[in-house]
Amino acid sequence: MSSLRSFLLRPFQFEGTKLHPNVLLMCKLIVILITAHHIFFKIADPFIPFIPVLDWFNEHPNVFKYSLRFIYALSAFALLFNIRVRTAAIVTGLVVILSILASKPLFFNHTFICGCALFLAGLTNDREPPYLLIFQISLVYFGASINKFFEPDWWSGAFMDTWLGSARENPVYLYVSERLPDMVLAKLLSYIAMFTEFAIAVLVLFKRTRPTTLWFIIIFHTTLFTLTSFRFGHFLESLVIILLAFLNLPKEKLSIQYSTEGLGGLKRFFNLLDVDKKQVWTPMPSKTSHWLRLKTEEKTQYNHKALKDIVLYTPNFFMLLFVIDVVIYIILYNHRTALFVLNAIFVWSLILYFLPINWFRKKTT
Amino acid sequence: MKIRFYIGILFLLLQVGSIVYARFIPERFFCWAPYDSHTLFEVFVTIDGKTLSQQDAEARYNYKMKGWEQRSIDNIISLISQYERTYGKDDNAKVIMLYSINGHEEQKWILNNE
Repeated sequence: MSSLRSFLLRPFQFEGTKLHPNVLLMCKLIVILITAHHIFFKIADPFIPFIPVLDWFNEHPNVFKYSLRFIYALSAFALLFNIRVRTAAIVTGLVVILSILASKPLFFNHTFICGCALFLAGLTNDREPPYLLIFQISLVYFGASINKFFEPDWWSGAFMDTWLGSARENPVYLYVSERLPDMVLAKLLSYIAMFTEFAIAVLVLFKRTRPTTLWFIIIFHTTLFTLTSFRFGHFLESLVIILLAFLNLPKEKLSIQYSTEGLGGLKRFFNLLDVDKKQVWTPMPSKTSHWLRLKTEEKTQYNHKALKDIVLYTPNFFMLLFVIDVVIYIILYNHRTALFVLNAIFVWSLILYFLPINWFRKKTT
Repeated sequence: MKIRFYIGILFLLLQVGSIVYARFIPERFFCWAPYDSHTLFEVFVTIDGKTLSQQDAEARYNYKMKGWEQRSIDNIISLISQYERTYGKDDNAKVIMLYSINGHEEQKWILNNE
């Protein structure tokens, strides 16, 4: 019975495999995300394929479809349950990419990025940083910016004006642009987007500028979401999930001291999420002004800084965030304005809390 | 480890190749070019003198056939052309697309069955 229980807990365990825990977390969340977006049922026999030879499978109906669906189900299961995770990630990624290659109508950048991330994650290991994923993120932004640089309508503002003004009838854009000279806002937004993307492509490659660039990516896309109330398919979620691969989780156990006055609930909450049993919580000595302390081999953090790190070092916190996002989406599916407002408040609150700025610093006299 | 790493690098180089290749063709597949253009379009498919409904046209190509396209319109042209060259060859469909890229003047594309 206990072995069944431990097996069922595996989707929530991230330690002890040949992948970095945060890369495994990324892979599991991507699989859950694309499965929730019906990838399993979208896998079909070739239809207007990119590689014409794939049409050969249409002489044998359902062979391609059911073979690929079977492999997807098997590899996704293996990935979620920590069975040969690197192979499972490579296979799952390849199935996603092959299903796109087999059907032009299925080509979407938000699906393709998921396939790429899974495939490349499977080629990394738990000893070195996931360089391949870093290069992939750089390449996505490099491609996005270069393609825009070559479009005259991105320089004239025609694209932005059509997208935000005509297609989406964005009230904020319409309100502000009416009060400015013709196309000024459209041009300004276009230039910001193009150069931000190019800057991200370059700066994410360097270790020193990477943390700031990651915040840049998060704030850039959240601003786009706030402005357009649009998630670009599931590109926004996919990207945020891929950024988890950039987290630097300590390999050793986390030593956490907490104030027993009022933080018992916090300890129980994290004990529940810490399925890998990596956190050791002990009461704080009574003679201290701190309420929380996190000690790792690299550093010791106190109070809110400690809490932020504990959250970031708890993979199941992100699983919980994902579940909350799905639940809110389902509950407010028919109330899109409320859904957008709640999402925006939720995301900006998280960003403001986790930004490496000490909002809670006490004034010294 | 090295072999896996180089396979990954090769995979990334293929994407770099796609970005470069896309500079020489109108389509924008596999080159990370979402939202490069915004096109309002509508497709009309006529077979044996009868124009298909929007739903029938969408079912034929498994893609929307009216509305806003946020990638290159040539992606849709490529999709329709390939279908009519292969699966739909015997239908001799007449396909017309009216489209306006980024708010510019409306253009017309007619499928060349030849």
